[in-house]
Amino acid sequence: MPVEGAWWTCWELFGGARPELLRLLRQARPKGVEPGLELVSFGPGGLWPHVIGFWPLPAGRLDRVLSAGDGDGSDETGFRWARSKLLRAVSGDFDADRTAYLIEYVRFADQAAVENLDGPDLVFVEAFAPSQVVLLWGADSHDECVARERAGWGSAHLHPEDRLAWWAVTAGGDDSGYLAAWFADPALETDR
Amino acid sequence: MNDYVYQYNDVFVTPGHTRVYQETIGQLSRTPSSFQQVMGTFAVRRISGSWPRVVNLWESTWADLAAALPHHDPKGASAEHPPGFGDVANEVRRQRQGGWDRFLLPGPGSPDLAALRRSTAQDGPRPCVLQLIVSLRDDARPDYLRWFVDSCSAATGRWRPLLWFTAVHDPQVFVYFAGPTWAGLEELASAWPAPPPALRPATETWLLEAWPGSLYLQPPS
Repeated sequence: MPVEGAWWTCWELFGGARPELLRLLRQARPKGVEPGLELVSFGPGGLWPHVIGFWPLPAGRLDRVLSAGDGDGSDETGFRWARSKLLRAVSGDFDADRTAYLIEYVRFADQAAVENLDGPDLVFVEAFAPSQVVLLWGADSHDECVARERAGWGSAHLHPEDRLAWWAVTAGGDDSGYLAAWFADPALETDR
Repeated sequence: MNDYVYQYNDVFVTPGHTRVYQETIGQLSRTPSSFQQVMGTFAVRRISGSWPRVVNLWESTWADLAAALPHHDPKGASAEHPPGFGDVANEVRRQRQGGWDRFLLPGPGSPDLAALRRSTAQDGPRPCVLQLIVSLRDDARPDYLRWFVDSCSAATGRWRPLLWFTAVHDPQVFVYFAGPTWAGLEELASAWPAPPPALRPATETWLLEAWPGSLYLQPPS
């Protein structure tokens, strides 16, 4: 889905139970913005409770989304704390069948490092900070997450200035009921 | 030369109270008791930034700031306020839950409120705002502001630099670009230059929209 050069936005919601955050995230997507990838941060590897959505912005219509302002269809009263980024797709694509992703916020000293990135499923660059990127590294199972971590997953070998990374699982379809049970299970030993 | 001192408020508004908070803070800043003027009060657009938040920018002289400080002191309950001030202040407290403030000093050439209002009279209001909060080494801040004014000014059309500051207590700069509408933001982003790698900036990007009653949007009376 990401087309090189297309504008995207990613939204993070914090606070509250994850199924409720996922419901809020889906409800919050502005009018005119297509669904993209919605992920739930999980267990041992990152922020919690926390969800994140990546959505493509309509080409040439960013001003319309912004002009809607508080009338963009989102009900803000449910949000405790959220943050978002305006991104540009550099390379890669989503695979809806991936089980999980390592998400990384990375800052390089030099923008040139962004052009040489190889390996992430997806690379986004921040619109007004061209040496700052958002990377998504996919895995098809939780075992693969662990195996890749043991082998050295992510961008550490590229020696960035800063990086913040965490694990998140794909949120699946409209029925988020499974999340309540899934996140109540500390074992997390089997693939969804 | 701009000799003012500025206060940046990142206000954690009570969800759903963004607009009413802006109206209250605009009213509060224009009461006879006000030692500072809120140049602008801005809602965070949810495409980029932290939210629900409101950003306020205040301008004052150092003398006005000294006069205002007793009113911010938790021990200052005895500070004199004119009738009605307390009611408005209580409204504000209900509409927000806290915040994060910074004192800012203007970078070379950054306009004061009076200059911004003259600019509004000449070119029209610019309520759509790009805010970058940039963390740097202290000694890199002058170079970053020079780069911002020289390189970013040429970026595109009706979007132009609005304000640029250094933080007093942090190794940060706060810079603002503004346009009359959101049209042209994509072109601005496409033309945005990369800062020199030696500066190693860490940048937070926020998109803000000024409350229509903001003073900087009003031509001089």
